[in-house]
Amino acid sequence: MIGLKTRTKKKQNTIREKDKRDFLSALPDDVLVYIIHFLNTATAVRTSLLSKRWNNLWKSLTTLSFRRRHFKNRVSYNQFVHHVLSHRDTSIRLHRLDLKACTVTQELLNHITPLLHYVPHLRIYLDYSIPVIFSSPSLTSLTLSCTPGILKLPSSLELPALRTLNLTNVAITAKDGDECAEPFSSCFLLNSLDLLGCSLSKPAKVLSISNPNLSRFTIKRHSEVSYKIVLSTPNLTHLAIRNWLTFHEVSSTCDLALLEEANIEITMRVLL
Amino acid sequence: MKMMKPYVWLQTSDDSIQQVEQEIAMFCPLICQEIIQKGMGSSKNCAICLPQQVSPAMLSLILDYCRFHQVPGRSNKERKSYDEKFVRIDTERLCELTSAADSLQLKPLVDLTSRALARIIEGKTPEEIRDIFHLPDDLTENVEVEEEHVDDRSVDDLLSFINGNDGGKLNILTILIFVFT
Repeated sequence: MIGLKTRTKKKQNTIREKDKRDFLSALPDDVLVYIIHFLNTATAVRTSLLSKRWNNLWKSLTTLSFRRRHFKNRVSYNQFVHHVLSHRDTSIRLHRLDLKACTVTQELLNHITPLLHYVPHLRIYLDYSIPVIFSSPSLTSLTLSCTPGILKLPSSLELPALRTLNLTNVAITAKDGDECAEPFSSCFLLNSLDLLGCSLSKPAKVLSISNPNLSRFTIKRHSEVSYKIVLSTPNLTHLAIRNWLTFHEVSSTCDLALLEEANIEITMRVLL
Repeated sequence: MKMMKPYVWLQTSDDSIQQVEQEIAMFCPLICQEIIQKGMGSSKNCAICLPQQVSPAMLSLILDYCRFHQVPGRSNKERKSYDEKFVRIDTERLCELTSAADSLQLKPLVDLTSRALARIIEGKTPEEIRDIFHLPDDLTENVEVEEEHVDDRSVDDLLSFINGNDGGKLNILTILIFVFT
């Protein structure tokens, strides 16, 4: 009877001991960094407060995602971005940067600009132009949004490695005085293009999309001003057009034989 | 002669040796290398010695995972739902599993378990995380991190909401015209 009691107690103690084991620390550093790379950067950096082991782990992150909503105001946001960019391990190349850089200071911009020359995946929100992102040899995916009317796209994007492009509220421009804008034709590898709320700057009237590798194209726009879209995209498989208040005239120079899915949605206002 | 399904001999961290279908075990790059490059695992005497992170319990879990994903023709939905259920285990086992999968270089499983661990950490205070994982509180000086938490929705949220997937999976042409006054 006594023997049994002792055994039960011993068993409980073992369980308690086991419970106290720091089992996360058994993982190698690269796995811990991999785990925190799924978190937004504010949360990932906060893991430095966990223990000594965690103190510097975040400095090896190759994905940085600065979301404005995690900060009370612009100042604290900027301070945080500055802290991360100036303390991270610069010998480790950044793979992905997600930044809402609407009101960064010049000092912060000096930190960011060199990164923009090589980072392959960039998601950025701007209210001024940073020309460097339109001529990067290694940029593979770009998501760029801005306040309407702020950012004019150059007439040609020199982004030879670009595969995925998502633009929101930018103004597309043509070469001097040209009626036809063709900003994406130097992006030879472009596979997916999303244009959301993008306008066409005068005097251009036609947006030509001439990309042999393009397979997905989406255009969404809420405006009364329309423009013509000419597709030269023989490998297009998915097409989505969603217009409010206007209808863009879309034509194609090839027969789009590979098209699998097309969604065309138009919402018009009728005055009775 | 009856055709035998090829088996491979594996030795786990407790020194026990077991026979496993080669096809399934080959899913783990580390085991695959041992078989192809070193010719190991063909008999009990030359069993593949697995890293010490791989206990028999973890090996059994990992083989379940490989067995499910090895079957061709499963839909992405099926695989996703299996994965979701697969990581519904206590945090200690999740850590052990991550460690074992990492030592076998089984990247898809490391990815799955790491995501699950990240979800546990997300939204918790350092104290809460320390509690869950029994981390030592050994920081002598306070490290100040300049950031404050406010949960207001931003333009980014709205944009990602607007830019989100259309959901329509139709293989036909859909044209919707809304007219309103």
